[in-house]
Amino acid sequence: MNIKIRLALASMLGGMLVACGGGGASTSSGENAVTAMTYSISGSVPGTLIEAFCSNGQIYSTQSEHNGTAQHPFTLNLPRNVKCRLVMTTNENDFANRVVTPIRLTKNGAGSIAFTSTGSAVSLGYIDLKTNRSAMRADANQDGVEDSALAVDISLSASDVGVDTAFADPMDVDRDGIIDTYEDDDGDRVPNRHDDDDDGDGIPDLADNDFDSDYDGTGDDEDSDDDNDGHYDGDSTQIGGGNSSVIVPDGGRLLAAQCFQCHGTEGRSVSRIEGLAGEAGEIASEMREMKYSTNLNDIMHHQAKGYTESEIDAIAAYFANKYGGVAGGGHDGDDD
Amino acid sequence: MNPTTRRQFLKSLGLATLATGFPAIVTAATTRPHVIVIGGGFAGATAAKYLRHWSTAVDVTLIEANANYNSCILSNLVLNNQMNMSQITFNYNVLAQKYGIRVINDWVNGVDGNNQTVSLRGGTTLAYDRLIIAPGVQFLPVTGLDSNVIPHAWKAGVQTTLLQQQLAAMPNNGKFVMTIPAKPYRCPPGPYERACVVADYLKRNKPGATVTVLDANADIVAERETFNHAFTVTYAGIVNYVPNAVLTAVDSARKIAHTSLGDYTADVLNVIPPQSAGEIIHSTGLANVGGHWAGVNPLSYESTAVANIHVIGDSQGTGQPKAGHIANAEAKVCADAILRLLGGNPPFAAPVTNSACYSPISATTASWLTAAFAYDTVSRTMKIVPESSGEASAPSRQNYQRMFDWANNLFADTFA
Ligand SMILES: Cc1cc2nc3c(=O)[nH]c(=O)nc-3n(C[C@H](O)[C@H](O)[C@H](O)COP(=O)(O)OP(=O)(O)OC[C@H]3O[C@@H](n4cnc5c(N)ncnc54)[C@H](O)[C@@H]3O)c2cc1C
Repeated sequence: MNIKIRLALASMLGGMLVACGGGGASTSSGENAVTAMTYSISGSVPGTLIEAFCSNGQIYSTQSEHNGTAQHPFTLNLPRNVKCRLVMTTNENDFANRVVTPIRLTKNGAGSIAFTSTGSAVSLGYIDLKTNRSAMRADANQDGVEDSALAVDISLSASDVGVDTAFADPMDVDRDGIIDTYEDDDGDRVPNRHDDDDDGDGIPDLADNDFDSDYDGTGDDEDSDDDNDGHYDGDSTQIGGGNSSVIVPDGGRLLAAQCFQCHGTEGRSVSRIEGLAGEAGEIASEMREMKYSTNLNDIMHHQAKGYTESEIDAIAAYFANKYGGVAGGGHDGDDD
Repeated sequence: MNPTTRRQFLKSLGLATLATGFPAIVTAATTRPHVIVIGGGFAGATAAKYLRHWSTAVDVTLIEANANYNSCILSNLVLNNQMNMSQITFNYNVLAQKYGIRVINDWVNGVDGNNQTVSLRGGTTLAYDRLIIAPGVQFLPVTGLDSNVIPHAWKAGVQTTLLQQQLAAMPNNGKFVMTIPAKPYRCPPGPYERACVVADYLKRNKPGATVTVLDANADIVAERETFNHAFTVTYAGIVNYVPNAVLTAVDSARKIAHTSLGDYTADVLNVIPPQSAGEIIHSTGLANVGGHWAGVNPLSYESTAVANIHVIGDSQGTGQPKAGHIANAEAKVCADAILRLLGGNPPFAAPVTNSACYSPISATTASWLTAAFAYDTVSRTMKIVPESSGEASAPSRQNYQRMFDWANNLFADTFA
């Protein structure tokens, strides 16, 4: 639910690059032009919708071209140096026969669904996608999504493509190679992306508000700022360069490092948990709020009670020193 | 470390004048301080990473028996087919490449604390300035127990897969029986979480099957409210919780658990044996807490028995829970202290650690347990901060999702 909304929102706000949030519409190739900032990924497939889900919040898509043969060529232009994941769908407009195949790129033995490129062109060759449900490789939960991503070897063709071997992907929380939007959370045999009620609670996603990844009391479906950093979700805000005039008290580094188990090394989260980098101002004010709150049904409301006022200030100072922002004020570190 | 090394080290830390007043003369380093870490689990991998993340002036060697690490965290979800082992298997490539840690896959046979050396099964002997030992737990022998037949699945990997296969092959109306050792053991809520996850699997796949939990403890050790509700309401009629059942022997062939309360025959028997610190803790003479765990100073995790050796993770005896999240927390305290000690400074005087566990209760819901620990200057121990400790009010789907978000950051903070 939240991921779909978040992406749709990002594409509405993004504007510059073409995004296709719908389950079947295609993007005209003219808008998806190669520029100095992009590279092309091409290959051939049976008649197919090709989508790339990228970490800049965008979904890029194209349709393979009917050329009279069984192997339809396609070319999709993607931004350089942005992590993307490819998903290919045959019979995309036929609800009952749609077959979704996530792609896993492998290179010299290493493989991942997430990849980046610094270069110009990647050729995937022919990809043997299945065109009906009975031919699928494996679909135990019968949602029309292949149970594991199809490996495509690019060792020979793409020297400047990096497959992402970091092991956490915020778009694939259970780490099974199927991005969350193509999971079937409620087991109704319709993957989340095509499902108007992902969690099956009877409340349509657009009105549903039951996942709140930043714990701010506003569910993600209404919350346009899931990570509370003062910018709309999917933003690519640069984190400031540090504020060396903020002195970190003795022990600040060690105290701050105790946040990293859940919020990522140096506060850079690799999951939907809020990152702390660039949030120096919020850290102090939110931790104080949680320290004195009586809401006991939240881990951070307990954890905050484990720290003294001066320890909270030391943690905030550490983040301000490292990433900039004001440690003491109730301000968002990336306001500036 | 010889004085030249030490001075050079202070210099490179930028602490030279500040710490000791050494003149800022740069002499070519002959040797750099060398820290060896034994064991690449949540404790050891984190310590190795943070030593190098915080300082490039130390050389770090990580010695780990296996090339791949199978995480126990989330491994109960393999039993009800919600995950497979490959999703929770990690390697040490990032630690080696990104942090410049020398990774050696070998087994440590012995440690010589006087000469400050470590000897490997492969024949090599390595010298250290500081040594961190994080070997996890070993299982104590149980009469008649053959863990190749009766899995513990308390170290993840082939054991987890074996138990999963036995459950899959179990007949309808079958009996799953598990035993829990007296505390302290690895992961306080883990056995109860397992009982729930297995009950969930059996409820959906093996009509009529039951779960019997034989607990050597007098009551549920962690998340009492949550698990009591799960056993008596959610899985009423499936789970039978039996406290004070102390395992005395096992008939591995006939799958019988002999306990202080009588014999229990199973279709699938899961014996989690009593535990003690890893072998190397005992052979190095560090197990001075109750004969099982390593006594340490919680400011640095330096052993109270042998100088320059630090013990973190499940093997340490501070009373903090034996769990992966807090093992990562202890590792950071230890790494920070070692860098200070190498620089001639005392460890930070007021460390805080924290623990968080998400426990799946079914294939779609989870609960959690958390606490922060702070150093108490009077007792010189890590003490739980009472208001910080708590458990989820009820299992939820949202917690189930957050469990993966939490685990992914913990995995990355440890191995990447
Ligand atoms: C089912 C289950 C669920 C769990 N869930 C959670 C959870 O939700 N949250 C949580 O925080 N914790 C959880 N835990 C507990 C957690 O897995 C352990 O506490 C954690 O792994 C301890 O880390 P460690 O580094 O001390 O030991 P380990 O992870 O066991 O690592 C020790 C390493 O040392 C190596 N080693 C040992 N001796 C030698 C030697 N002589 N030479 C070379 N290498 C050696 C071993 O090969 C091993 O890789 C769970 C445990 C289980 C069993």
